[in-house]
Amino acid sequence: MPVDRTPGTRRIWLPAILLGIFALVAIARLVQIQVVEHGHYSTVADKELIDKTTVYARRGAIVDRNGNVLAISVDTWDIYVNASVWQDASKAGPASEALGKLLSMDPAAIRTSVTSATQKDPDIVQVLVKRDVPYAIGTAIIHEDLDGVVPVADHERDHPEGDLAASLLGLTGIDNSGLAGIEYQYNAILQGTPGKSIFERDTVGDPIPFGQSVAVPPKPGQDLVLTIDRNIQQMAEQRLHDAIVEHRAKGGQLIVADPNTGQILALASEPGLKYSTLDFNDPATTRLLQNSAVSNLYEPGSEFKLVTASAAIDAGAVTPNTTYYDPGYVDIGGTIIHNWEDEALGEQTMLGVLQNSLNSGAVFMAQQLGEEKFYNYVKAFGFGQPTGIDLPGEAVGHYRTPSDPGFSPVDFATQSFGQSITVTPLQMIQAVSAIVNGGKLIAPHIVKATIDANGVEHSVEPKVAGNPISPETSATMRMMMHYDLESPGYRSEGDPKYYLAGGKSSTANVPVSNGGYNDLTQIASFVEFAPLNDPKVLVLVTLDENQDLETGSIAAGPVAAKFIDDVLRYMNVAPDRADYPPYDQG
Amino acid sequence: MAAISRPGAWRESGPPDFWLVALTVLLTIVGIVAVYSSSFVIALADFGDPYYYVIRQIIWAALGGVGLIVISRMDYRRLRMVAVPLMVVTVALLLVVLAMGLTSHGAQRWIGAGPVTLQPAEFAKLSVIIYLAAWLAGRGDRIRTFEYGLVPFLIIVGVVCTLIMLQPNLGTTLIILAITMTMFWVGGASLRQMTLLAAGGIGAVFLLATMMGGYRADRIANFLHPGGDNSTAGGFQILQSLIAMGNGGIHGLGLGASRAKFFYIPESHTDGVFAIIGEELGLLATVTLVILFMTLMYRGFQIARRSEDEFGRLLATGVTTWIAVQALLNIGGITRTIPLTGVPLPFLSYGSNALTAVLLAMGILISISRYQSGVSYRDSAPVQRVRRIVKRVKR
Repeated sequence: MPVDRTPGTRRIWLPAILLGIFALVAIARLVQIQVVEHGHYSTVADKELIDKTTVYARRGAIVDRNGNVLAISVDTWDIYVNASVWQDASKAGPASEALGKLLSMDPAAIRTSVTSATQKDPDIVQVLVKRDVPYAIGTAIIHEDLDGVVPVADHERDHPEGDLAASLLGLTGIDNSGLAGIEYQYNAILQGTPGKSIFERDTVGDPIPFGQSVAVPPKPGQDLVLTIDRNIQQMAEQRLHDAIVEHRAKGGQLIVADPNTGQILALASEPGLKYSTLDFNDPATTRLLQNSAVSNLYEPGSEFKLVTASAAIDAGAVTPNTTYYDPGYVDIGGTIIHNWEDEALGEQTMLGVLQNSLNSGAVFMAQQLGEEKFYNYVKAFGFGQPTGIDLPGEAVGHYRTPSDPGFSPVDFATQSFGQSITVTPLQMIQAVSAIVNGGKLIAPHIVKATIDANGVEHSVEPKVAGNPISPETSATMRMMMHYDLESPGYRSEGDPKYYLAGGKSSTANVPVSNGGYNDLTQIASFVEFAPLNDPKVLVLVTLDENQDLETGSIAAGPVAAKFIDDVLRYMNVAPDRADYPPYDQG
Repeated sequence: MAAISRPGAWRESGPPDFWLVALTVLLTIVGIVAVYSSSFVIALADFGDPYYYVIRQIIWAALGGVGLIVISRMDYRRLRMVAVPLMVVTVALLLVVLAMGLTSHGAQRWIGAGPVTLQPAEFAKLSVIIYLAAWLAGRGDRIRTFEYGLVPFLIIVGVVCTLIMLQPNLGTTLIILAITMTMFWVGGASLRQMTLLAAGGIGAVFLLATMMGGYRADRIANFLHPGGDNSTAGGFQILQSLIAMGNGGIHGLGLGASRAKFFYIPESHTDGVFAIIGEELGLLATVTLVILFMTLMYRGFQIARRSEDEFGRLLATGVTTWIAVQALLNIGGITRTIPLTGVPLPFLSYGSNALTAVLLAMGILISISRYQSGVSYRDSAPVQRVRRIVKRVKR
């Protein structure tokens, strides 16, 4: 068959060649992109694709000395809504109705909050509807598979005992780190090490299935065992509160310690943190985050005479039977210092100084001891230095010594009975513990042990920081403190019913800014230990600015005495006096 | 020529071109795999069904395949009779699109509703090829004149291109310009006419593209500023395509392992499918695909060259140019070799109308291959080898 050879048969090759050349250019370009620039583009892709998230490490629990849980992290869900999905009213309607039912929220309010969030920030993808929804409700929401509703796993700090020991435990933030109290102090131990998850993500940020991922598992935090006893703590908080109400005080502390180990069995302070009424919008909350038992500085007053007496007896400057003449006041280079009762008691023993709380007697003891030794003892008892309590925000306190500028003999005299010296309640606990425990200065502490991820318990051993006085002096001081509570023909309001105890009251004036003291603001307190010969507990009750102006003996004494009776019976310590009703633990 | 050029007359036909059939089947299957791999993420996100797009692609491949078989067994010269009606219907449909079409991505290109939508521009390419082949074949040497050649040609092309440009659809317009100019050239236009057309065409394209503004202006800006402006949709698409292909490297990340299809490349299963292939299967696959399209082009132009009649030659030229130009426009755009025009990759991009139109066009090309001139028709060496093997097996 003849072929019709028009020019077209050859002309065809022109477009073919042109397109072929273009194809070669395209291939060259592909080689450039996929071979030459491969490294560059894979770096860019990695940067764009790879996302890192922190995998939450379970925060350790805090339990009391008997294993009762005080703070624990529980799994919760944060409920988010994908705003773009809810732009479709046919999806937002039913989803918000179902969500509102499960969350007990108004569906219209949920929709409004999502809409207003997108109006505020047009780029927002997911809007938080509710944080820390209980685990079961969150799983129910997942089960419903509602349009645009995205539950994200979270965790919340739960306090099974409610507000109990809240001031001690403190707070955690939403980032799982401690903000106050033990949660803050032991954050590194409680927090654990968060894990890491590195994964490839899509444009929305969700992980790409079967994309590459690297995971470093989180290391859970360790649990803390406190020295606190839940029941004693509960009792302490209740008794302190009752006393504050009764004596119209601004606040107070009730600290219970084991004087032999420095373990704090209970630490109540008011005003204090309460989870049930926590409100971060209230500026006063910031102050509540500080525990007044460690951060409050005050002038201890008469209780400090215990330190002066211990020092003078230990140094051999006086004995309990040493006598001096009390004119009712002391004249220090023209400055007259009065006793609290402005009358002359005549000849007095050192025991009488404590029993009658004579300022002139304390000055006498200090003068017998001498300045240098007095300050050595004050320092050896831990004043002016942190106790090392494992709670945040500890104050140190201050007193003037002869080497300080502006020191005068009046300072030395007033310090002997607890003025011109500031201390914290815990410093007092530490010093009086040493006075009654045989002379060992032991740092008070609140954590008994840590429990690691393998369940192994690591105990915190008591740290003996020094021996300010001898065991003999300590025994003498216990007897003197006992006679301060009861002696022939005399019984203090602070004397327990069933146990032989020792104690000392204090009614300290609060210094005012002009340098003097205001007789209408005082701190009434009582420190007491029992049993007499083998002290098991030391109790310090402090009432700040009690408006009824009752003395330490009358306001704080009965609280301490009752507490000693109850706590020792709770601890199954044999009573010293017979026919007592058994302690009702309920 | 006189006897055999009568439309509808029965002729002896040979076997279809083996390479053409093989390439068509291969590219369609590769397309189904590529559509599945690139679409399941979007399909799952949009329809809750990862198979949404691939099932539709398979259905349209099957329907298009039936159409291909029917047309390829027909004598292509019958198409000469429907050239004018087809053109009239096409122009009518293009007018309907402009009047009442569906709008998507800022352009009005579709008509219809529900599962079946018609994109007349896809079929306009086919209609223009058939019509122009018929028209040019009937003109003979008068093509070279101004009043019987250039002017009517400009009117035909002008009307179709204007209607498509109004949608607007720059990509299809460019393809039609390339097809018609190639056909005009092969059909016997003078060098002077072609020079005029080329100069006018390039000027018009630039004028149109810049005048239209909007995303098209962005795309040219994106091309001219290789920093890659991520803030415009087109810039994002190109940049993500480059990252995907570059990340794929020589061997790719593995079939199905694309990262970019997780919403990084907005049209991953349609215009962007080549980038996903480059990411998953690497340079080996992308270069192979370019070579496959070039082989298809070579076979197509061979078939045109060996066609017994002018109509068949022009028809084959038009179809071949269409596939080749559209493939290169897509690949060139995705690789930022040329500005992005947003045309689907023949066979491989998801799209009911595009795939059907391409398969019908391939049917025409296969039909032409069955009526090759006896003198020049010869199986290529590998095909002869395959035939020998098949014969031996049959025996």
